[in-house]
Amino acid sequence: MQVSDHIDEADSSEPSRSTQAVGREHGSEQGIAQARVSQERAGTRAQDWARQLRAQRPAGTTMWDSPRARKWLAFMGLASLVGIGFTVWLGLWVTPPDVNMGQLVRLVYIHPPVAWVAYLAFGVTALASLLYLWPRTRSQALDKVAGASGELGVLFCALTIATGSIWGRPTWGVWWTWDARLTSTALLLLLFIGYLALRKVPGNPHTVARRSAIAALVAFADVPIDHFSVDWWHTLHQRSTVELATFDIKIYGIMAWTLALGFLAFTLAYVWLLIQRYRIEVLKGASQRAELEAALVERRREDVDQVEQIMAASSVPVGSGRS
Amino acid sequence: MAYINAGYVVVLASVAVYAVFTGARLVHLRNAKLRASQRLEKLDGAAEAYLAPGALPGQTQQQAFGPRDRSSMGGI
Repeated sequence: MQVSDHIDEADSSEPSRSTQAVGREHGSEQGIAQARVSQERAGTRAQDWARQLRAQRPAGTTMWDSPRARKWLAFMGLASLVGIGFTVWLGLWVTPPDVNMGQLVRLVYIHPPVAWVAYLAFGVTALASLLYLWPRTRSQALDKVAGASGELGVLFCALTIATGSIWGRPTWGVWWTWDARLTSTALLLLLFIGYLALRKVPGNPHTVARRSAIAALVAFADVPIDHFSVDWWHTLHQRSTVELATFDIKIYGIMAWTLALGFLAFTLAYVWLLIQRYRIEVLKGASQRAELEAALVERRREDVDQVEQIMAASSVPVGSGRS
Repeated sequence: MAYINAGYVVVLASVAVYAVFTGARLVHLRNAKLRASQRLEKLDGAAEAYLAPGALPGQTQQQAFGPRDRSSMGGI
């Protein structure tokens, strides 16, 4: 449940007449009694309402917060760290230089894995968005997963461009060229930056999630274009080193194992980061709700205090008039 | 070799910074939620004490009169 929903609930749970109004309107004994009842009702309602909200409030935790899941998460984080460490060690010191590329082949052990993770992250975003748009599977959790994965995708896509550019400078002699692969990757990055910006545009949570999901699907359409661009247009970028669809592998021995380890390690790192990022989204919602509840209860207490002051001020003249 | 090192440094540093930043956000939000919950608990306690006419200062309605009987409150 979103913050705006709570606000709606708050509005609907308001008493029909405010205690302040009752206090102002009545100067008689009956009026004061009525105001006292209203005052107590307001307090009780505020309290019950706060309790009701607290019962509805998600604890701000996910399935990854259980002790067992935390152990798995720690293991996954450690495994990805060790995997990346081994990839760096093998890539920089153990593997031999390539016949054609020389030492520059060492960048191949990180550039394709990082690019793969970007594709994977955008794929997860698109899948979660598609499931969100389908009424049967619609859930705010899917929207959170889409947002979290989209952010990671942008990070890894930017790293893909950066490492590609660093590889391109000594190989092609330029940092950047309007090659089909490079251009479509840059477009992909811009599309998903736009997606993240769109998620920040305020609005009803469901509306924001729906329009973001549509934007994610539109942006994802660039992924196959990006991937097959090296086959469709014969420009500067080399073709895939590993083509899983056709089992066409152009790398062997320890070089292939290092590349495979790179893929595995960066995928694990992505999954670990995605879970952490998802936990942030859940916790952010819970934190906002708790703050909103506290602010609303505080506001209601102020109302009750004001009524008490009004009653204290009005009770003296009424009492003196009767005697 | 400088280009290769630069490539590795860019990737490793970026992922490490992102991971640290994510961890920091997680801790910050957890603390913020805890603070808000504590504030709410305090307010709730104060509301109970306020609703206890005749109770001793600081004493809640429940402490003064036992659990509140809501059966005759007409759905309030």
